[in-house]
Amino acid sequence: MRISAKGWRLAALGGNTVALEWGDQAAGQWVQRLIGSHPCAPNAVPEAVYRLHSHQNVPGFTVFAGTDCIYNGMEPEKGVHAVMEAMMQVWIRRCTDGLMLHAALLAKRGHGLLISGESGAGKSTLSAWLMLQGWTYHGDEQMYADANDMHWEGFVRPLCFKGEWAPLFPGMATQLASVEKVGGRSLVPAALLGQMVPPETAVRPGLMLFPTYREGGEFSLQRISAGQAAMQLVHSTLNGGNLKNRGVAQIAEIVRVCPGYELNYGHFDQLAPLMELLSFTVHESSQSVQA
Amino acid sequence: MNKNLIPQRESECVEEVIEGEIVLYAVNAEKAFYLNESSALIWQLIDGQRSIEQIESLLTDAYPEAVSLQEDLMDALEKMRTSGVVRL
Repeated sequence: MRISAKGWRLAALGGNTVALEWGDQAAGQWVQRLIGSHPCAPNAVPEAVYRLHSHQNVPGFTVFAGTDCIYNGMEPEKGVHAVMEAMMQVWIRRCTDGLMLHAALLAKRGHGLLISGESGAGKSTLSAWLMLQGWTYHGDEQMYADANDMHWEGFVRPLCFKGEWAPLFPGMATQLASVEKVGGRSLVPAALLGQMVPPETAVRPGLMLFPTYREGGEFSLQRISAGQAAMQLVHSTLNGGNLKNRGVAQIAEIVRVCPGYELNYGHFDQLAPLMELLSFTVHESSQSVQA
Repeated sequence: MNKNLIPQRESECVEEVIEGEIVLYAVNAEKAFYLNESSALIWQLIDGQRSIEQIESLLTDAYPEAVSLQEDLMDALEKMRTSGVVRL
């Protein structure tokens, strides 16, 4: 994709928009890497504006949030990471009418699959694997859940892996040049996993998955009660302080319509029953929508 | 635990009943708690007037075949007390 020398792009989540401006082509490419896979946002007054610049005469990179410099250094990937974190914080702070969740989001035929778990639970790894099984990636870290009109949105950022990830996906070993490394994390573009265009902005709730990955661990997939699923979402809610009673009423609305499952696994080869469940869920949901 | 005690709900508790279970939000503690079906039933019998003995009696009438009802009741009340949603 050709990047203009100067430009701007909007990204929204949960109805709140941020703007990323760039002052040169190299900075524009970094913006593209960060939010190029995120759906384009409609024109709106942004809640925050970030300006990215490559230095002209000496190597270096600068990022401003409004008038505050949030990065000035030699490693553009660190500056982009700072922007990414700042954007997510803005979306949390400004989200007052829905749930901002610490969760990954994938979808198939418009039905969302929420994957929630603590950092290190394997959300990104499972997301990547599901992409290779034909699921559309909507984000691996932060998503918005609207309990009023029942839709979910994700932040379609590059997948963020902690630790060694490439051996799990040997097919990508030849394309690692496009992977950025920041502080022990690898930012992997969605395109590397075959997703070349941004997904639709919103999907319907389909199923919630609460995984735990342990290398070599036993497989189990168990339906959990709606109350247990609600507690999982309570712990995943990032903007609880903005919501009445920490959003418990909205969470209850979601778990009433969306089943939750606890998954334990130690290897992708164990996941055939999960795929069967997901296939059934998508098929059944499609049938009920048609009816 | 003295069975003549009358459990009291903490005043600022918001409850969401979800398929027979309850998610409680304690406003002052800013914490949410999960009550499974049996704990939810006990919670619903806590009205600030019934003693533990009376609650046990109601549960025994409703579930005469339950084997560890007294123990379950005491466990549930203790958990609710330590969670700060019930005073004894």
